[in-house]
Amino acid sequence: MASANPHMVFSDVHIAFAGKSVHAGVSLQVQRGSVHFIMGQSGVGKSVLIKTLVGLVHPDRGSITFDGTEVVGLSEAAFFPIRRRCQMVFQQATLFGSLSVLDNVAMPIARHEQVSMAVARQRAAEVLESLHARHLGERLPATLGPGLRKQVAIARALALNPEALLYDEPTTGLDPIAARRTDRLIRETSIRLGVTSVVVSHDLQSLLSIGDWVSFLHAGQLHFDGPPAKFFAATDPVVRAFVQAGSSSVGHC
Amino acid sequence: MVPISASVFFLRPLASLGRWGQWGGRQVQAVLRLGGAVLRNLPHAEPAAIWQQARDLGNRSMFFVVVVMAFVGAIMVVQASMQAQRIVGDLSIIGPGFMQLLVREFAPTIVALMIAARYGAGVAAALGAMQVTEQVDALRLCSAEPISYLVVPRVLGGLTSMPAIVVVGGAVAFVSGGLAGHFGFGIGWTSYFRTGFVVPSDVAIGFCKAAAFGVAVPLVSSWAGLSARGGARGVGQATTRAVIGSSVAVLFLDLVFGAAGYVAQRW
Amino acid sequence: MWSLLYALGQTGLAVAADAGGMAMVLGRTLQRLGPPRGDSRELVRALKRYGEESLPIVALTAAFTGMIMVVQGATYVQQYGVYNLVGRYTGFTTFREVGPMLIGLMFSGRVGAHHTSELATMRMTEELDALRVLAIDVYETLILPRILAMVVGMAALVVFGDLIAIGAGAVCARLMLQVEYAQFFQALLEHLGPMDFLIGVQKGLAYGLVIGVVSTHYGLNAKGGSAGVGRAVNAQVVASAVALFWVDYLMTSVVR
Ligand SMILES: Nc1ncnc2c1ncn2[C@@H]1O[C@H](COP(=O)(O)OP(=O)(O)O)[C@@H](O)[C@H]1O
Ligand SMILES: [Mg+2]
Repeated sequence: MASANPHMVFSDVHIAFAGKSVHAGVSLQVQRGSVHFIMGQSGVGKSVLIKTLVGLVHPDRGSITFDGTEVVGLSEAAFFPIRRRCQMVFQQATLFGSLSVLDNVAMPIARHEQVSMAVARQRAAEVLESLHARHLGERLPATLGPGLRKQVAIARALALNPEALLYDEPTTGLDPIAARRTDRLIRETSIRLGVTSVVVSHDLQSLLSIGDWVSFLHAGQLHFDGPPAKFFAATDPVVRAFVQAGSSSVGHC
Repeated sequence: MVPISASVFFLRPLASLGRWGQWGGRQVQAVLRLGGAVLRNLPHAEPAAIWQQARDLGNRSMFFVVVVMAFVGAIMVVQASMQAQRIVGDLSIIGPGFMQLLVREFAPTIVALMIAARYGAGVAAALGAMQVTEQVDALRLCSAEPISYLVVPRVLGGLTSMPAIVVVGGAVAFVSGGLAGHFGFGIGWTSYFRTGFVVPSDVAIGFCKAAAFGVAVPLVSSWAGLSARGGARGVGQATTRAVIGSSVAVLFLDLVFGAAGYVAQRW
Repeated sequence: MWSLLYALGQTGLAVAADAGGMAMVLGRTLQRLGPPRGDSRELVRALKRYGEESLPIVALTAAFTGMIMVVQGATYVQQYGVYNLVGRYTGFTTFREVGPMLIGLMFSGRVGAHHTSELATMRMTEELDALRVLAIDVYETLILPRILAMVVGMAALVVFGDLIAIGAGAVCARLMLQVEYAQFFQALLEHLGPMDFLIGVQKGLAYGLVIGVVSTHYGLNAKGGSAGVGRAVNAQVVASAVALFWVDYLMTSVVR
């Protein structure tokens, strides 16, 4: 989907690990405020691709811009301002085990906004409230199930008021109820705060219910790029196989 | 009533000392129980498995022991020569004196401490990973006794290879000390490379220490591994416990053998 | 023959890579020292935790050290009748060499190993990446404060350990050689200056830095799941031992 002012632009991105190519020239654009799915089989390089945006993976070749700023080749220190505007929710939630839920969210606030821990906790409580997770505040992450952990991780990512959020497989490993609740949170957050959401997933149900756009990766290339309706109706054999393999579970919900 | 300051500065440390003592006692008991089980299972020992473990210990640790003992030799000769220059000015006894100290004390102890770090931690990591993934229980189910299968070969392998590595480590330390003494303090080759001070009882003490350490390090490390609980974190803790536990065992045995040797020599 | 050469070359390359990695850790840590950009609360927390973790084991090790020194010398003392020297040589060897070294080895086995396994686990679970994404510098929040705590902690433990070792040595000398306490401590105070004590403390500072850098390096570079955490801890203990003896050698022969 080409538009005058996309939020993120990947052009001809090449990534290889120890000589093994993962991406060989991927180009795609993410529109401001959209919920943009990146799909593909496990190991195709979905996580690697979104990690380039926040400097956790460095491409070998190509260009990636975030809000017009080129990020390829930036130093670790130069990525810090980018990261504050573009947050990521990790697949395993990766909460800090020794901190309470409230402090997990308050910690980045206290560090970046030069406010006292008490003020940061107040702000963190508000963020948790907006994600319907205020009541979890005093608990330790280890005592939460995977769905609630994901909810807290989203709250922590929102603590710094980012303009974009990257979700790495937000519903993988969750039971169907928690998965649908997470879908709703992603959509609500997108609408309420206007953030751009990039969702790495192979959950077709998620795509169907909240996706605006889907980019499908296959064999190091962008194989399909378009709205979900077209994706489900596609005649391309690779896409068809992916959709059909996943549709049995879609049918159940 | 006990004044607050007394309770803070005296009773509380005393209480924690008591707790540590109790805790330590339980650990020692557990290791000794494992030792008893090893003794009971000795008849089932397989020579091939023992040889395998002995080689494993040597292969894994030789390079490391050689590097460390080379430093130890140089450090000790430099220190001793500096002292001797200051006090008596006679450097001719440095070589034979160092040789005697190496045989009686430093070669077995330092080599064993290094083996505890290199091999002991590895044993605990391997057995700990088997324990937390329930492979040890699986062994039990196919009626293989885990102790005779996992622990006995390691203990006997340690018993056979530790004295050999101690000899190598001691030789390396002695030679590197000779080089440091010659080039740093001008000690002559012939006055340094003498073994005159070493008497049979020194060799006996050194050998007994090496053999005892060879049993203690694998035994304590196996205990640490087999008592691992709770996933990756548990394996990490077991590794630490193996290093610390076998080091303490080495120091304790060193003290016991040193005192026993002293008493034996007086009679 | 060729395979031996090949193995030697491989070992050399691996050692060089690790040394480079440690130099990088040291550089990045020092870079954040001026002006200080570390988390002071984490420093205090780390100091407390390292003290709690290692005090019992250091006390035990130090007591053994003092006693072993006396036992080792006992034969010579009897042979030459130099009972007035027991306090002197026990203090000298303990303060300068054996005390800091054994305490350093125990510290690396306990505190260094813990630091390595913690960083390695955080790397495996992507917690380190999560910190980076939150625009939080891992060196400022975790590494600099903990390395500082190790430096300060090691020096303090050497002082503490020296006292315990000397006490245990005096008791042992009294029981084995019937050397009175007064004679023991008189020999110690008469012949040893503050330098002998301070050299040990200085070694404690250096060893703390060495253990901090080595354990950070192996933690940050752990690979391969939970088995990788174990491998990193093992490599840390071994590399710390080599580094400690190497630094000891430098401080003994070059600095004098
Ligand atoms: N740091 C790394 N080092 C080496 N290989 C990596 C690294 N990160 C990812 N890979 C490889 O890149 C490929 C893509 O990984 P990933 O992006 O995690 O796939 P997925 O699409 O399932 O998220 C995989 O084959 C993985 O092994
Ligand atoms: Mg992935």
